[in-house]
Amino acid sequence: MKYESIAETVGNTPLVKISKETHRLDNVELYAKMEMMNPFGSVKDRIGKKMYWDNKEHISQNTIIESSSGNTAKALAALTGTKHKFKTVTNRIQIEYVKKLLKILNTDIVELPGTNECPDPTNPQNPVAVIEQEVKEQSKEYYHTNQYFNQENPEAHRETGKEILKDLPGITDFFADIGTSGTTRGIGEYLRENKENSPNIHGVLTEGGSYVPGGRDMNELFETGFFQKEFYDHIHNGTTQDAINGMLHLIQQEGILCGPTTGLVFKALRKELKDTKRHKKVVFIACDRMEPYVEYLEKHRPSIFNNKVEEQSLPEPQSVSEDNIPPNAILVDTRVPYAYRRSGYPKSINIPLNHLEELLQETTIFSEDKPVVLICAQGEKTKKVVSTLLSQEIDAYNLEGGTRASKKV
Amino acid sequence: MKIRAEVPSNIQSYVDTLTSSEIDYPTRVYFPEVLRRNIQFVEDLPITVYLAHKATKTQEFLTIAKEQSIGIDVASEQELENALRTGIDPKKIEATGPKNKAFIKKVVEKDILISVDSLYELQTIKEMNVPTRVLIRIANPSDKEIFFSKTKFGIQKKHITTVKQIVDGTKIDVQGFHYHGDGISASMRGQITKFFLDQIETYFPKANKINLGGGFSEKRLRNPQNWHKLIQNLIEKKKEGKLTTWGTKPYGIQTGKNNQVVGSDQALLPSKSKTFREQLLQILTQQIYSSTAVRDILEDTNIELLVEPGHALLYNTGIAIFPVSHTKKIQRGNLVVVNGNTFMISKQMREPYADPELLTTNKEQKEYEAFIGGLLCRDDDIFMSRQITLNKKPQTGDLLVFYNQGSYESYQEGTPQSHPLPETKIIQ
Repeated sequence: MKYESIAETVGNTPLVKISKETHRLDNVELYAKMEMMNPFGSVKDRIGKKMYWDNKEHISQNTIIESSSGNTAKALAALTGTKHKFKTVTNRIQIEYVKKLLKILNTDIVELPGTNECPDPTNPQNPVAVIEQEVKEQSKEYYHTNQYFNQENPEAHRETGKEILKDLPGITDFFADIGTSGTTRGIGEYLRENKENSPNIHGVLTEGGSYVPGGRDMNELFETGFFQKEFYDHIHNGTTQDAINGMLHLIQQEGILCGPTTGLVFKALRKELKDTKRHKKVVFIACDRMEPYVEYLEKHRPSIFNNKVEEQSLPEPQSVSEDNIPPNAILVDTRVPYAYRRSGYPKSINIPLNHLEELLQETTIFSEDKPVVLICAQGEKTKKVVSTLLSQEIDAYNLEGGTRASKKV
Repeated sequence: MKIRAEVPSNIQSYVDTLTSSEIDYPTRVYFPEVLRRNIQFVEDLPITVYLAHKATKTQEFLTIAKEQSIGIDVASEQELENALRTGIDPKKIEATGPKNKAFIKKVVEKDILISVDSLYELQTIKEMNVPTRVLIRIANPSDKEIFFSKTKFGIQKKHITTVKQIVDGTKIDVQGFHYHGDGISASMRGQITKFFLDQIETYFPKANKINLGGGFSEKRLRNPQNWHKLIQNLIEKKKEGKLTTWGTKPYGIQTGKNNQVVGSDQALLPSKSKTFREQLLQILTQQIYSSTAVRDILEDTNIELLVEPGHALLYNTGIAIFPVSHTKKIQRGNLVVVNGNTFMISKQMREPYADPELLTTNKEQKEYEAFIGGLLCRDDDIFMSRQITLNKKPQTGDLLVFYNQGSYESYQEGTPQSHPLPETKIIQ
């Protein structure tokens, strides 16, 4: 396929079906809109093209300026090329990979002391305020693309909505992460305007206290001009561990090498749709690629890399007595196979503790749909794994007193 | 070359204060605190320790065992009675070794755990028709042909099915298996543990004990690596025709083909450098069933691992002190004659490999090479199989202190394991 420029390759991303084995949802057809397959690796390539590329002939200033510490900056930096300079003013860039990439792309990076990814209007040193001041002072030098307020941002995503509807006319639900809100607003509006039975629009936020690169919590959305709570049929929340678990699930089981916000959305939609009785056709946005987030995974899921787990950050393990084991729980006898053969816990499966720990480092083996009760000899050795599972949002328990206190073994 | 003993500081302090005027007769000194420490050193491990009574006749040591709540392994009626008199809980006593009917009757009556040494013992217990807890002692648990599979002890593994047939439907509760092999490696003990686990799973699924016996080596020397140098040195001297050793095969050194002098593996025993605790830890970390540590199996199954150390648990609990009678010249060199004899040290079980320490009043700084002999009218009454180098020439009344003499020290003074003396009859 022949293109006149890289910008022309933005959009028309594939809609990929996610297998039932991966999403494990009854009555659901699930599709990922592969925005990560845009040329610079994210959904933001669309707004980069719309806000800059399509207007570039009319921009008289030398420098494009934006507040972005991630994908928007990357797209703009790549698209500006030799035609314009690109400058990003942002709070501290937390993903070192992106910072290095922007430097390779010859970006002028101005980092402010704040740590929040989202501009805070109450702080005069917030990136948007700084940009506005610079543009005001040097209007002939800077052209502010202004992703937080530029209507071309949601407008760019209306095209995405059009592509989705064309590929899946029967769509019933749409899920996406809320960042600038441009993606959900643009796609959601298009779908509502052009589909007779309007699909449910789901926005996914990051829970306060959690950190997901590119994600926002409710308090951070006040600066975003496009956000309107009432626009969404449902707003969901997820944690750092949700994001990582969802991301790893898609990467390891479906080969979709996505980033954590995609994982956050995937995890949220699985929670939302787990008891769906009516047949649904669901689309979610796979918004960017995994590579920039290796460092993030090293920090928040060190076990993947065989690094020492920061135990202090793990939740306290929870225990359950034999009489109070949830009826639908998966029982896992974690003792060595010899012990299991000798006196396995009734109705349990046997996964020796060391194997279980290895498995959990490599993959997700339990679903959040069912509680898990871990059983060891004395009710002590499994506590650490229970904590690990709890951190992954698995409803896990330690059997109090283990098999030695059991009346059944 | 000097071979130093490893000496606990409290014992060294005691020896440092000794003067020759205090002791004029062979004397053994015991340090119960060292036994207490030896027990406490391994009490955190998931292994049940039974002190082998046969390794000591010192009542204070049994009292320490009771105080520390470890078990006692008895090998005779007399040892059993002594343990009970000491107040040891019968539940913490195990009877091992070959047993006659009287001993079997007594241990069954007292509800003592019995390590059954023969099918005869098992049949005898069966006939008593009393609830009895037993371990089955197996002679040859390893597939490998090892020295101790030729032991006189235990039941052949091919007879385990016979054991099963004898005990089924009786009041005999087979609680597990037992094996003892002197000096066997941790790896071998791991393999034996696996063999016993297999037998438990196959024949006695409710059994919950595995007894790996005793025979643990000790770290006898301060610098065990020096022992190799010593043996090489002795071999070289023997090649040169110098008479620096005593006996036909001292430390396994012997004359081989073409009259060449060689050493044997036995010569290396004193070079062992692992402590009792380290040896137990080695057993616990042995990987069996592909990749499962023995320790994990014990924890997860509630199967109890038993050991019955003698030497290893009584390590460094005593010293033996001998006054010097005189010195003399012999064809091999010098001889220090002490007031005492070799039946008064544990040489009959194991030579005191480390050099004794000389406490002397001699002011002259000159080393003195000598053999050490006793007062018995026997040519083999020699304390050590080699000539040793003393710092000074001993004088009458000086003291020689032998370390690590807390176990099997009086083996030859009475009857071993307290068995009664034979009756004497004179036929005219």
